[in-house]
Order: sequence, then structure tokens, then C-alpha cells
Amino acid sequence: MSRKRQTGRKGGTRAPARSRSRFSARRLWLGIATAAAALLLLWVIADRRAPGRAPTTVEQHADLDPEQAHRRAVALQREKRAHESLPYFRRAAAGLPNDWRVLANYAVALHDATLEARSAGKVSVMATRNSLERAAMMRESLSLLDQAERLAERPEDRAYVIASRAHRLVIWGFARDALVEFRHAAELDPNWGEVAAELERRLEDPTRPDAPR
Amino acid sequence: MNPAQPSGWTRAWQALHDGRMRRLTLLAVLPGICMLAALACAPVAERSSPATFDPDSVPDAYHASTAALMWPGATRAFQITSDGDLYNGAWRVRVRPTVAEAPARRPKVIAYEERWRPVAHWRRLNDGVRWDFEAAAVPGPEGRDSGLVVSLQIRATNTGRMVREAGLTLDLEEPEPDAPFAAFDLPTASPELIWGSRGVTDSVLGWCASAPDGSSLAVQWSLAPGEARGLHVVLPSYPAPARSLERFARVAHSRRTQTVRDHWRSELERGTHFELGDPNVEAALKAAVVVLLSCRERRGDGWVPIGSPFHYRDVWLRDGARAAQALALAGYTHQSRELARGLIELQWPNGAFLSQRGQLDGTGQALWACAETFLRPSADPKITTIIEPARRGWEWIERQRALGRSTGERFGRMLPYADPRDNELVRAQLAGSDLWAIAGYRAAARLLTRAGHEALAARVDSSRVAYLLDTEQALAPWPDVPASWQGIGRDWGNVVACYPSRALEPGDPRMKSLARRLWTTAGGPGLCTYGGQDSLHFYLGADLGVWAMLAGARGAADSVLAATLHWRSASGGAAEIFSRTSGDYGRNLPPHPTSAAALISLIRNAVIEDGSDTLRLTLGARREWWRRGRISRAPTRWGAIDLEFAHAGDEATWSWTAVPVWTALTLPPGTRLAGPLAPPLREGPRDDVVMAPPGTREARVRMTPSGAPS
Repeated sequence: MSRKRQTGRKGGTRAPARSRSRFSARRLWLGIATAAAALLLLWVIADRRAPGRAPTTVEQHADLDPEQAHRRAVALQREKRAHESLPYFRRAAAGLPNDWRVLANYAVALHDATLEARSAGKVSVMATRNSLERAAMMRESLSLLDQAERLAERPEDRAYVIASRAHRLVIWGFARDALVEFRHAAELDPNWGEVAAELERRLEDPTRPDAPR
Repeated sequence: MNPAQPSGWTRAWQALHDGRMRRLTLLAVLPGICMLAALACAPVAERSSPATFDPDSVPDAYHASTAALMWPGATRAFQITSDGDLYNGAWRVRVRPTVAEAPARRPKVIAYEERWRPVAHWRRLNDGVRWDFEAAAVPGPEGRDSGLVVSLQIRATNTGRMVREAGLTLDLEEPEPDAPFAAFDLPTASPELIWGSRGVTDSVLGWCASAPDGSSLAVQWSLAPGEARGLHVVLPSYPAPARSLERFARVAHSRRTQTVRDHWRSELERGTHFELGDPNVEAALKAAVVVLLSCRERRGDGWVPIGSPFHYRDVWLRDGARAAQALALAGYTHQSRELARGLIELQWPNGAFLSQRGQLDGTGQALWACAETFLRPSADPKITTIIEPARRGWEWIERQRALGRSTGERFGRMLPYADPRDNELVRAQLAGSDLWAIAGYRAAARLLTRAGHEALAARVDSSRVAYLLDTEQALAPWPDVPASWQGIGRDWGNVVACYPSRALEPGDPRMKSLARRLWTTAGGPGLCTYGGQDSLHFYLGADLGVWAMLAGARGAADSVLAATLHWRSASGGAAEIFSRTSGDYGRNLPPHPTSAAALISLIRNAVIEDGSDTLRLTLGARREWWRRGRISRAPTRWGAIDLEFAHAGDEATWSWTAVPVWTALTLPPGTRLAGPLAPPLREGPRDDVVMAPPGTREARVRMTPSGAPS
């Protein structure tokens, strides 16, 4: 049986039938739209609560006290678990954005994480994916040190931050950039003078055995 | 038969000679000729039927034959091991074919079709049973843009005269502790080692219609003489839902492999077309392009070059710059620019480009890669986006030189010491850092000029001249080019002094001395050694090969090319370092993208070289290429060009797309100019070189044997 014939038999007069039909269609569409919206909302809520979805590191540590997060981060860093310390540092830096120590420690942890390996199963792999990620982490690390330097008020604190940057630059191979930084640090705190002099000797004779610390 | 009367055949033969039957014979033979011609002209993919493809006929220079199943953008790849297993850095698929429980022998070679097309074939033999394997990688499964799936077809054929009981087991296993590589994203916990089959919904590591049991897939066939049975399995590079693999496996293996063949044929058609009449060289070029296009990963919207599909899955400026340039030379302009742009991500706040600790040559390499890719065949419309990074890179080097001068260091005008923990393997002021920086200066000046920053370009160029003078001073005490200004370290970055750095002219005696020193150590022109007499390095000496071409040492250049062509696997790729005597590459697995880049650079520069302000054609073209060499759509710094060259009798001819600069035409090997040249051609700097003024499109030159070895 064709649809046309079936409608004609049930329809009665043409106009009222069409009017009823339009009304039903509007209700139907409204119902479908409401149901779809409800389903979408449920799906979003379910997705957020889904047990399979791991919370992000920011979510994981959002409730953690920033001081506590900082202490935990530093402890992990001392255990040479720099990569693991990063979420805690992130939380600490978000909570204590004007504390130069937090930013400087975070910067150092980012740097250390670029050199870290991890074990997966029976093999050891780099903790970071590739050099692009490591370069991005170092850019962030240097930017944090810039912020820490601006925040540190005492000359010796500023010198410490500047020397931290210099030390990272030496590790990555920027010895002359580092020398400028060490000299700057020595101007603020003469204790860094010997490190600057040692690096100067190294630049003159790169085959010298000891690296500046 | 009356011997006095000629036989029917003899009559026919005589008639043919008389000319009476010539037309008849031609008509009879013509269909056959047409069929042969059609076969010869048919697309290569259609000619190489896997059924008739014998992998063991393909040469492999290495002790252990392996191959890669890789795909552009995929973040893992499978290695077909020399044992005939498959390994992706996260798990191994151990393949055990047996007959009456006796294991099959290891494969002799793992070969790509025609030694370049990445459909891998290998054979394993039992007494009376031949096992044929065919595998190819395609992207997938659906919804994943960084994965690949291997379609593997295994076929057992009873080649004997009695019934054989053939068994085949494919076991999923965890990586061994001494595995040669591990996936960069290997999870801390191993994935569940489980096969998928119909009805399984879990995440699995392989799929097969035959019912597997956990981590093991086993089938048993009783094969009558001549009978063959096959098994199709699919292997994802990451754990995948069994259902998506089931859907993937619904497409027949033959269709999957055809898709792969079609894809790579179409990819290769996009690039420069080399028709040299030398199938080995043409296949080597194609294999190199496949490696370079496959060794790329996505980074956001961009692409970056990686150091290997396996153990060097990372980004190095020193390798990435070479890969980007080689793709530009091979006609993949868009892809090469994407890779160069990806390298810009490695710029540091101080302006330097650095990918690995202590590798200060990165800034020069990044700038060089940008100019090599963004200016060929014409300036990229988005060239302005790389001007600022280029300027900052140049400024960083200039700042280093100024700082060095101010400290009063002995080599203060050169870049500071570096400890690359690789290559030169020494902490010193490396010559390579400065030689690459000079290449970077030239590149930056070219980029700035084309972007309309003439004043800054002039400053960069003037600083390059000053840098060259300082380099000259640093070189003064040395007979050649040392690895470092302190005179220690292994030869590495110093090899680039002429090409690509162009800090030294091809005729500089120090280049000749450097080549002599390196080649003497290696036992003659060809590959250089690295670290030990027996340790050959595939690409270290490739730049010396280009130098030899530029210097007119054609025999030496050809020896370098011959060595690179020889030291390739049956899948067309090359390792980085290997034993000369045993062919063992240890854990440094082929294919290495920089080796692929070196091969492209050598072959392309042998026919078209555009590094200076002169276009050089047929600089190192081999004798056989001169039968009729044709190159189409080759990007140069003066536009894309076509080139044809031939040698017949005592005449050499060239026809090429006109360029706005002088063209140097090098005569075929072992010949020199005979008699005066017809205008507008002029004699070149050597008796085997002819100069054509800008705008010239063709040249015809009479030659005579040079009488001297080429």
C-alpha cells in the first residue's frame, strides 16, 4: 500500500488534516531536539566522570596546597624524578606566582626533565618525546628564570637565579652566553666570581678536564 | 628432398632477403613487437607481480637483511627482523614456520619490490615447503592519524613430491631487554599480548580470521604436493580494537598492497623525474625518497623530520636539515618546506638553533635548510615568516664572535667550544660549527635578499666575508681542515668545508689534502671510515663526493657514488655505520634518512648542481647516463628545469630550460673538447667544460677522447 493512499483514507477533509499534521511535526521535532540536548548533556557529564578517563595533572593537584605541592615537588626533584615533580611545580607556581624560589626551582626541574630517562618494561627510553619537546621545555625554563630574576629582591638571590640560568646554558653548550650570565651574577654576589673565571679558562682551553659547577 | 632445390624455409629466407616477404614477415611479427612494447611501457607496479617476485634475487650489502614497514606521519614502525619476525619497539611478533616440527630457515633477504617500493617480500624454506611472506604498511586503523597497520600475507607451498605437515605459529612477545630499539611512547605497563579474532571486542595487537588463542596464533596444514595454503593477518602499530582490525582485514591483502603500490607510484610521480637509463640508480633514488617521506612526523599542523623509523625517532638539526634539502632537490618542494619550517621550532630565546646538547652547528644548518627549501624553485610566498628567525640566528652567531673577541680567547672569533657527545666526540671548538655557520650566513643573505631586505642582506654578507677571513686565519696552521681548531676530534663537520658550506673553493689545496687524508685512511675514494679502519660511514664522505665533482675529480666522485649505491639493503635503504668486512651494522639499523639524503644529493648534483651562481649540468654524469639522460621538473634556484643530454659518436648534446645565469656543461667522462666552439658557447675553466651564456637552451659540442683517465 502506498503512503499516499493510506494518508488519504485517514485524513478526512484536507485542510484540518494538514493542520494537525503540522502541529504533530512541530511537537515531534521539539521532542527530538530536547531528547538530543539531554543526551548530549548526559554524554558530556558521563565523559567527564568516565572511570577510563585519567584526570589531567592540573586536575589531579588542583586541591593541593601550593606550599605542600612545592615541598613535594622539591623532594621528587632531589630524588632525580624531575618529570614527576613537574605537575606539583605547576600547581605550586599557579598558587604562588610571585615566589621567586618556586619559579626558580620549577625552572631547574624543567631543565632536569629534559635530560631524564625512564624505564618502560625492560627497556630505558627518554622521558621526553623528542628534541622539539625538550627545546620547548627549555624555553619555558628560561622564561621562568627571567620571571624569578625579576621577583628576587636581594642581590644574592638574583645572582643565584642568574647563575642557575648560566649553569643550564653551559650544559646545553652556550658557554659564552653563560659567561656573560656568570659575570653578571658575580657583580651581584662575588661568590660567583670563581665560577666565571673557571668558565673563562675553559673557553680559552676547552680541553681542561673540569666542568664549572 | 632434392638437395639441389632449396627447402621451404630456405626459400622463405631468400625471399625475405629479396624483399618479397619483408612486408609479410613484418605483419606477422608486428603484434609480437607491440605486445613487448606494451609490456615495456606498462606501469612498473603492474609488471612486478608478487607471485613472480623472488626476493632472494635482490642484492643486500649487509650481513643481516632487515626492512622497515613505515608510513609518513606514523609514530611507530615495524621492523622485519633478519629472523623474519616483526618488531615495533613495543612488542614482537615471532613467526615460526615449521614442517614436521622442524623450523624453517631464516630468510636470506627481506626485499622491497624493485628494491624501492615498500611492499616487502621474504622467503623461508623448509625441506619441501617454501614459505612466502608479503607485507606492507598502510595508515590506520580508522580514527588514528599516527598509527599504521601491517597487512601480512603468508603462503606455504609444498614444492616436494610427498604430503607435508606444515605448521605456522605467530607469537606475540614482550620486547627483549637487549632489543635494538624501544618505542618512544612505550607505556610503563606492557600491553596485553592478545590476538583478535571474530567475536573478540578487546584491544588487541593483531587480528586473524583463524581462531587464535591469547598471545599465540597457530595453524596446521597438510599440504599435498604442489598445494599452497595462505594466512592473512593484520598488525597494528598500537593496540587497537579487534573490531576495527576486523573491518580492516575485510579488505583483501592484494588490494591493500595494490593501494600501497598506487600510493607510492603517485608520490614518486610528484617529484623530479630522473630517466638515466640506469635502473639501479633510478631505483636507489626512489628508495631514498620513500625513506625521507616516511621518516616524517606531524607536529601540530606541521611536519618534522626524524632520524630513523626505529632507534633515532627524534629530531636532529644536523640530520633534519639534510633531509629537508634532499627532498627539495628531489622535487618535493612543499614537503621540504614543511620540514624546514618544523626545524624553526628548535630556535632558543637567544636566537640559536639547537636540537641536542653541544651541537652548535644547528644554527647554520637551520638557516641553510630554510634557504635550500624556500628558494627552490622560486621564493616561497611565505618567505617573510622565516626572516625573523633567520635574522635572530645570524645575530646570535655574530654575538658569539663579538664575545669571543672581547674575552681574548685564542680562537675567539670562532664559535665557542662544544661537546656534541656524538660525531666529533670531543669537547673543543669544532670547525664544523663555524663552517655550517658560514653556510647559514650565505643562506640568510639569500633569504633576506629575496624577501626584499637588501640592506640587512648586505650586512649579513659583509659579516660572512669577515667570518671567512677569520676562518682562513684559524686554518693557517693546518695542511687541511681539522675537526676542531684545537686539532682534536674525529673528522665530521670539517668535511663540509667546500660543500655545502662553500667556505673553501673546490680548488683549495686544503680540500684536496682533506680528501686525500680521509680516503687514504679508508683505502681509497669511496665511503669514509669513522672510528676505526673497519668502520665505514655511509654519508660522512658524501660531501667529499660533491666536492670531487666540483673540483673535476670525476673518478673519485664516481667512486663515492658507486660505494653509496653498493652499500644498500634489499629494501633500498642504507645504514649509517657498519663493518666493512662483515657488513654488520649492529644496533644502528637501516634505513637512515641522512644516508638517503646523501644519495639524493650525490645523484642530483651529478646531473644538476645549482649551489653557486652558475648552473652546472652533467657535472658527474656517468658514461651510461649519456646514452640519453632525461630529467624533468627539477627545481633549481632559477626555476624548475628539464634537461636532456646525450652522447653519440663524437658529439655531446644538451637541451635544457633556459636560466638567467651562465651554465657550465661538463662533457662525458673521458672526453675533451675537439676544436673551436660555435657561438654563443665558450670554453670553460677545464678542457671538459663548456660555458653557455644565460638564456641558452641547447648546446652541441664535438669531443675527442681525453687520453687521460677520467
